[in-house]
Amino acid sequence: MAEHKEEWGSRLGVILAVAGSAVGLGNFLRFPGQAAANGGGAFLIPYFCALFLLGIPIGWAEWTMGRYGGKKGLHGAPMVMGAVGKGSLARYLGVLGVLIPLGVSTYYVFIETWTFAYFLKYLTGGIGIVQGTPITEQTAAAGQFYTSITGAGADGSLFTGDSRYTVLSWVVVFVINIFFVFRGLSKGIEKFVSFAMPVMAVCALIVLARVLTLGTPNPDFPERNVVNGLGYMWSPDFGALTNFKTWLAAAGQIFFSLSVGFGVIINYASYMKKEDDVALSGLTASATNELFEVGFGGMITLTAALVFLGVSGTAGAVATGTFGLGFNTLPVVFAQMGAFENIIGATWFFMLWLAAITSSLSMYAPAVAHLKEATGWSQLKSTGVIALIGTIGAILTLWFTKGGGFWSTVDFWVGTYLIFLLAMVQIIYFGWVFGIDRGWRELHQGAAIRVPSIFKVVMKYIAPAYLIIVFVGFTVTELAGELKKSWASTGARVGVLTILVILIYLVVVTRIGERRLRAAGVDIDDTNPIDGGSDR
Amino acid sequence: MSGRHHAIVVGLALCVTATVAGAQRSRADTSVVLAKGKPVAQVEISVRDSLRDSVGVRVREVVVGTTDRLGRYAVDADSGAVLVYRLAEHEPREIQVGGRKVLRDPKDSTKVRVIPDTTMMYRYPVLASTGIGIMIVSLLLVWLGTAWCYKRILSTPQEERAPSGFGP
Repeated sequence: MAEHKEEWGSRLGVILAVAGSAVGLGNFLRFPGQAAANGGGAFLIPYFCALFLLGIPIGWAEWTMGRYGGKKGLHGAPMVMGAVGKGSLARYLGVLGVLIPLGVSTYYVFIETWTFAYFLKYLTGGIGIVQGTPITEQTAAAGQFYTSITGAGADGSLFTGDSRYTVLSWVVVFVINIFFVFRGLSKGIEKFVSFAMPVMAVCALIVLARVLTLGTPNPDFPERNVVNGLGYMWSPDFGALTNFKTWLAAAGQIFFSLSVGFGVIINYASYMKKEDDVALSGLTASATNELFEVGFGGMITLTAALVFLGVSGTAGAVATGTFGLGFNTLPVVFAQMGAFENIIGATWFFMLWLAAITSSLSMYAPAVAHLKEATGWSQLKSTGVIALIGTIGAILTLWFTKGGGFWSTVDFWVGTYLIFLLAMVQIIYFGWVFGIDRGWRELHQGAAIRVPSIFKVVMKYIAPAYLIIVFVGFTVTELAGELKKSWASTGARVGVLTILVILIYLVVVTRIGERRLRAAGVDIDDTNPIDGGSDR
Repeated sequence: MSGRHHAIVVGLALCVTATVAGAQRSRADTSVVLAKGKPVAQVEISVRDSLRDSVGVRVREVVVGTTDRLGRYAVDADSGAVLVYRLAEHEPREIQVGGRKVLRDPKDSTKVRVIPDTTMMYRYPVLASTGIGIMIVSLLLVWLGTAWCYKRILSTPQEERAPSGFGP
């Protein structure tokens, strides 16, 4: 077992840590793009359906399973899942709960680095867009900066010329991450998120206030105003509701946004005390995420884009995807804000950086916890090994940048596909193996709220069925194309290989942990359930 | 699971069915469906308020272009005609308005028709009443919901713990 018992300093701390893990770039960039492309305001109907039928119930299941595992002294997702699922199959499926965050961290910190680099550039004079020049020239300048920061032009380009700026920024960002992860839960992660989350909210409020007071900045285009900008995002096309892809997109957005099926919540919740509330805590973390996503993301990004770029410019920006919108289009939008350009640009990208780092911190913590638990290594040694894996992954990410071949492959398989799979595994084990009545009792132990009993039905029947439909739909629509892409470039192939190597390593570590913990007399298969084990 | 829970499941299934059926009826009544195909042009057109009111169209801009998105739309030709396209089997007709390529029917400004070979994206940038309603409900839900959660969290007494972790 670990040489030092860790726990959260306060209930608010674990809530902010989970919320910080959930709030990321997707809240501000992916959500508005998905909404605009899938029915505008009408998208909110399947979105909230997915929130209440998938996101929140699966989140509650994870919080509950995590705390249950913690009661038995288990903290890594594999060991917790092994206890909940009573055996090795669940334990090895639980390896996904470490593979996903660790795999995603290899490229997520790279993207986090972009936000940091943009922030520093805005702080020191801007990214090279000349105000007053035609929009096409400004867009070209933004694109040039984006390419130089991301190295999207050619593999290895980040290690030459001005692009080294990205590598240096990555070093700074990575060291900050590892420092706080090494410091542990309450002295590291909790302390950081307790500062970062309120600051992020203040930054979002500043940008929102600026966007909502833009009015009609160009009298030549009276229709390009704030009200129309809000209309672009919110006016509904109810016809989109008959399209299966809209429901799929909404479920996907909820998934990626809430960090369910990610392995983080289980790990974080395992450090709670046995009488700590998980029902209200889980709901609050989800609500915080929704506040940032709907309350800020839904009001800022596309509104600002339409006010300055019109419908065609905004539609084009949405078509370029999350990163095109955030890193190419918005800098052009900020350039139209005159004297405010650098202030708003710096505030925006600092906010994105905080959103990203509160997420990336949560990606390393489950892996460190699993390593400590399985091998008995110290915090320093476990953090060091994870830092080494992170560094190797980052070098590959930084090298294979052409077309995002490496990281987009890892993103699809680990950051998208496996998340669906793990969420399915978790909710099925919770409702059908651990037992829904037992899970319900566990959820309400020490609970500050009473969860409506309808959610018992949701957690046992509706969420698994909904998830299976979404998973099958996702597989049918995406898998064939992604399989081809995953073998199309060297970067993509290296991405697949990297995932396999990390997976094998984690399976071996889990096997070592199984033997070690059994030898130490730890009840990793839950043969003596704390609550008696009856599902009645 | 009790019988009551099974009844809830059936009720939820009926609600989903009703929602989908309602959406389909809405589409049949008011929507234009454009077939997938190659983009033909990219334009932005404003509809004059008087014309917009007369035909009940709340569109100020239309984008013809880069996506296979389906939906209703309306355009304002320089002549002042407002075209409302709906489901029908007719061929498209392209014309030039102010040097831009626009789709319209010069004979009957309100004729119902479909454009099969066109990829078109519409958007209602005007924040119409339904959009305002959805926006307000969504914002109230997330703001008030979050405030309620934090109020409950902060009002529940909690034991103080010494920070744990590594380093100073």
